[in-house]
Amino acid sequence: MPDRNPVVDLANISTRLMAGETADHALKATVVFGPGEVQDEEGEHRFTVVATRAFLKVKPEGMTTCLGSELGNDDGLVVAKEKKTVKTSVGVEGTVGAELDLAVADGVPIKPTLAGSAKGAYSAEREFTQERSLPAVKYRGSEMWELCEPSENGKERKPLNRPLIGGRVLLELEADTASNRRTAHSQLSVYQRDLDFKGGWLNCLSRNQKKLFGILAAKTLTKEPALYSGTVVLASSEVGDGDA
Amino acid sequence: MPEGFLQDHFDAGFFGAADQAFTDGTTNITKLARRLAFDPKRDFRYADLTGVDFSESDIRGWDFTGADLRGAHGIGVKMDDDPLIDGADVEGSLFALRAERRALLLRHPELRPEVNRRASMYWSDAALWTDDQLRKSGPVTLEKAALVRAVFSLMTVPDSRAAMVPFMGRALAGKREYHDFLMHLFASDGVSGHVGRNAVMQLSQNFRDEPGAFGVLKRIALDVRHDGILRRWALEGVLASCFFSDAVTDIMQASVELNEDGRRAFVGAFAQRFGKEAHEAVKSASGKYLDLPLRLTYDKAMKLAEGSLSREKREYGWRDAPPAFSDKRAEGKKGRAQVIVEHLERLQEAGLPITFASDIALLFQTDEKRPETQKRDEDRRNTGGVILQDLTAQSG
Repeated sequence: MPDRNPVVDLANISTRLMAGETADHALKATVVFGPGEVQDEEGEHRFTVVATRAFLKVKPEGMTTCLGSELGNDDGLVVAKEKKTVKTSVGVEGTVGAELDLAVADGVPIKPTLAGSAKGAYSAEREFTQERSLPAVKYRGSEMWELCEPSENGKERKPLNRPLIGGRVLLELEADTASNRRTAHSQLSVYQRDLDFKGGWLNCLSRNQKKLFGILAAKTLTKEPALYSGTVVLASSEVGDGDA
Repeated sequence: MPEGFLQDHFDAGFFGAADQAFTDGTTNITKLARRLAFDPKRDFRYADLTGVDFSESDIRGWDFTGADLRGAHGIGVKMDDDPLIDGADVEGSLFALRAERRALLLRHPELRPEVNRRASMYWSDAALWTDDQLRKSGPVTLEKAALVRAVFSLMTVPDSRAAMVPFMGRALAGKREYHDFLMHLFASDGVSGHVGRNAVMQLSQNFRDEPGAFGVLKRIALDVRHDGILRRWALEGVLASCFFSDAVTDIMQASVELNEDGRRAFVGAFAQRFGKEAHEAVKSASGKYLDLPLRLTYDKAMKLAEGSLSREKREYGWRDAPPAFSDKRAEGKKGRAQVIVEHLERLQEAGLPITFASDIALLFQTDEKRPETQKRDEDRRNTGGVILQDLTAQSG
């Protein structure tokens, strides 16, 4: 079965079912994202679309997922490391003073004064570096992966604009002996809220208009707009063991 | 589903529908959704609705499941008591107080009957109960405060809600709670009455850097149906907000509807973004900001320079402070006028609606041809002694 990529410039997927190392089959995938551009015939309306987060869902048929084989646990997927250095210092400062008074009899008062002080300071500096992996591909369970560029502040998402997964094994599958048809259906989808629309023409619209334009565009991208429910399937792929 | 490009999905019909919906500049969400034939039960699920203005919309029955509603706001919004916002991001939005109530009742389902019962209280009972919860019956615990907020968010009778407001301060311990309460208040009750006025002032002074609050302030400032004082407070918040840049186009479009003070304050805030010198350049001889629409003549530019020089002398002359303009030319009156005009030209390029009279070019000519009015004034000043002598001679 061929890969189906109706918006190949925005996102496309390609999967292959191979013989697995530890199981019967291994599903390999490549997902590529980029900005998609749209303009009307007159060139008056022009805008670009990028996805900021997508979900990849795999549905095996006639096969069972080998638990623990899902992509997302290995270090190979680490695309960025956040380094945080924390410095702490401890300081102690003290002063010690002494005074001596002497008075001698025989009417001669002698009052020598002895004063002294000592100052001591101690400080220690500790430094430790904390490293945190920020993967772009996160396994979310139930054969589903979240694809999202790591962001520094954790709030604003960056656009997806590069190949991800890169032909790695998504998961390994054991064949069900009772079934004679073995396929793996993969679907790449986004929520409307994760599509970012930009363009000079859109700047002429108010915020409310821009937001509703985004929904209108997402509906247009849906195969059946009447069934639209906030999710857009960007690409899908189906492979069977006969294709291997 | 054939392999293709994004472009292939957008035909002339798509752009036609968009143009038709947006052409008259309507921003009302209900109207726009109707024009675009959206199904409110499906099309707003998982939608990006950050900072959307729901003012005067009817969003009852709309499904916002999983939507991004951060900073969504509105004045006078018809909405469900229990909106469909499962999994939605509602931080700082008009839904935040309702979402908090939902979370509270999920944690403590035993409170549900009480919240429902209290929410339909008569106004006097509402006032007494709130006072009792937050003042008389011992210290205000987090649970008590959350309960009062939950009842308030479910209360449908405006009079009862208004009766609770004076006591609500104790139930709003943190800034976030206060903000969400105000957003709820604007959405439910608009800006009418004493409560509305206080709410606008609070928003303008304390929450203008929150996206939702900024949206409400902008809406009030530019809506001619609201009274002048309210609009002025709101405009002050807009002009001082970190989101001011987002409102520049809207304010300029609506500048004819602003009063003189509002227009002048806008010019000051606009110039401030371009630095200290630009800010000084938009000050009139009297020290006020210039008014819009501004037409700058040679005489006017010289007066601005004169005012600026005397202000500088008055304000900084006695201490060792840097001059208002770093340009050496600004030490003299004509040079300062030139520098001011150059700053105003830059502001004009940035979008401030300033027009320059043709005689402004004379400022930059080396062989100065002064305008007739100034020439006459100066001649009169210079020949004053001669005229006085003539008059003395005549009378003699």
